[in-house]
Amino acid sequence: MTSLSSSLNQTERPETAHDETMVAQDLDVRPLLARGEEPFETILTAAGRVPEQGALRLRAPFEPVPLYAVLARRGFTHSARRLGPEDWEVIFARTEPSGAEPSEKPPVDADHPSDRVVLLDVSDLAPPEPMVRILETASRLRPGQELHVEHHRRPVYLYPQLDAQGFVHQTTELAGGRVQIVIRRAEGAPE
Amino acid sequence: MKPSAGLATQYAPPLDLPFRFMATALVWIGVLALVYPWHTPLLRGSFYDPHLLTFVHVNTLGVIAATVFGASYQLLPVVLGIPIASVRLARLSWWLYLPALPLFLAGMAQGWLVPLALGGALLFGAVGLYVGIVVLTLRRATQRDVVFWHLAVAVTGLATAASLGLSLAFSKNGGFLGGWTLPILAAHATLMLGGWLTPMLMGVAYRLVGMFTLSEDRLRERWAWASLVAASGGAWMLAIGLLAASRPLLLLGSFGLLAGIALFGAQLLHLYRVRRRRQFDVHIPFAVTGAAFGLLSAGLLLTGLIANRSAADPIWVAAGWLAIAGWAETPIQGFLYKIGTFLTWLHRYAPLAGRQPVPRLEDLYDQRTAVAGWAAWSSGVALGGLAALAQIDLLSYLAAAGLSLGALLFLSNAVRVGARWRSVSVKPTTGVGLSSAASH
Repeated sequence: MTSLSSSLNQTERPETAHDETMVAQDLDVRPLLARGEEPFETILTAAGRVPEQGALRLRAPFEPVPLYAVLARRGFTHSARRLGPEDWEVIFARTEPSGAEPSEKPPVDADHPSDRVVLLDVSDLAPPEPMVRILETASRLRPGQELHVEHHRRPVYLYPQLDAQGFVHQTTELAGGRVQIVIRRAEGAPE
Repeated sequence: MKPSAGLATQYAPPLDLPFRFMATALVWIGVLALVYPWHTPLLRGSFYDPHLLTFVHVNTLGVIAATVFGASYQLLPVVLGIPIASVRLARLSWWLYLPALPLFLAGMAQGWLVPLALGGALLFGAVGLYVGIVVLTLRRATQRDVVFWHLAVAVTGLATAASLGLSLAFSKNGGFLGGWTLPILAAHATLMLGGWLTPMLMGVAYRLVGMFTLSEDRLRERWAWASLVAASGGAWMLAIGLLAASRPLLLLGSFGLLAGIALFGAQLLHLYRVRRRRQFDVHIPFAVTGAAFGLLSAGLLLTGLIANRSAADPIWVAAGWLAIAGWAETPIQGFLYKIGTFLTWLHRYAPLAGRQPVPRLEDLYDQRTAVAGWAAWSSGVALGGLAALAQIDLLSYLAAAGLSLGALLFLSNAVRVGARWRSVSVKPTTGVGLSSAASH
């Protein structure tokens, strides 16, 4: 692990002081994205390995704005700086136990109406909160938007509710027993 | 994107299936709550007393089996990610089970051979269907983790124990078992409690505790495997030792059972210590106390074997009581607070989720009542064990008071949750998330 204070030469001050925060995980997703691979699961896995008061240093070709809300729900604050063209460094510092209650604010990014994909990780929620969060977020989907949900089991009780509320969905098995559920409104279904 | 609604929908078991069994268990808990004052003193008698046997079977078949069957039908799809093999046969198993138990218990209590045999046969049919459905479902599972193997081992124990039980029921008529009756009775009880219930409870606990406290990824798999092998292996060794009258097998088996339960208890404490959802959950005191009772029961068993106590010694009754009421029925109450409440929430509020505020699970029952019920119940269980050991009348009546109060407090919460069961029509309103103050 490297000391954050020795490596950080940031132009943006983090919201909280992280001088004593040790970088426990270093992750550069630029090669993954260059190969056309989806780095979301890899990022979450790395974040899961960060101990309390530790940090994940992420390098990406763009500022990963949708990740901020996802990892905030896991108890992370963030500070980002642009190192160069297509080179961003983001420090996600775990400032509280990952059992922190998720914020009530829905993750749909209303400030970025061009976002087609809405990310939602419900792994850190106990039943029935995953279902509630997913249905709540899905209800806010605009035409053309997709909700990508990450969970660590098939939410078998969710599917009938999605069907009843006019959504179509597809579940994909990921590594490590995790699943991704992609949800969008069915054609002609009312918003 | 190809919609997968049809296949996915099949994964979800129909809610009435687990509900029927759990409702049946609640009825028998109500019966027990009323009869504890008259039946708890039976703990000071012989385990072959027909009235004590009947009391035991009300607990094991009426409460424990009904709860486990219902919970299995709900949890198997969640745990294994596949639907159960046959919903129709599962419903049929309940229809067999429903008349079987009163017939069987009446026959056992009164010595009526026809109801005993008929009830026993119907029960065997219900259990046989359950075993078949679970086995067929397990065979289809692609992910065979340590919890899968807990379920597989459990259902094997149940099938064997039920077969022994059927032979005992039919032997009541012609006495064809002769001198084998007591060893088979002991083996039947051992396999029911140690060969079926123990791995079932442990496996279900790993999943439920993990899900509701967000500690699933922290399960120490090696400990889980070790506790399964030790506890189940120990139970089977005990059963064989009883049938073969082999003291080495008995000692080894009981030690294995004790070690397995101890490992499970340590795992449970580990999961609670590292859980990401830090707030108090109602099932925790039930689960921890249940594990403690299990340890105590296994400890008494080993003590009795080492001390070479006679078959009539009250230590066996105490061990059995602590296993049934403590190791099994205590965590069952805790898990019913989660499973039963979740089922009701699913039926009543899932259609509303995302459209209007919905309550949390914790809002459907009263937590203080739950904790008070746990305290009363646990005291009753402990006093019951003590009454059996010390052979003191007063203790058995105090135990009955605790058990009745605990059961009634549990049932009051069950009624409170059940009152939410009614369906609603969905109103297209805007709304967000979980509301702690929602009352519908």
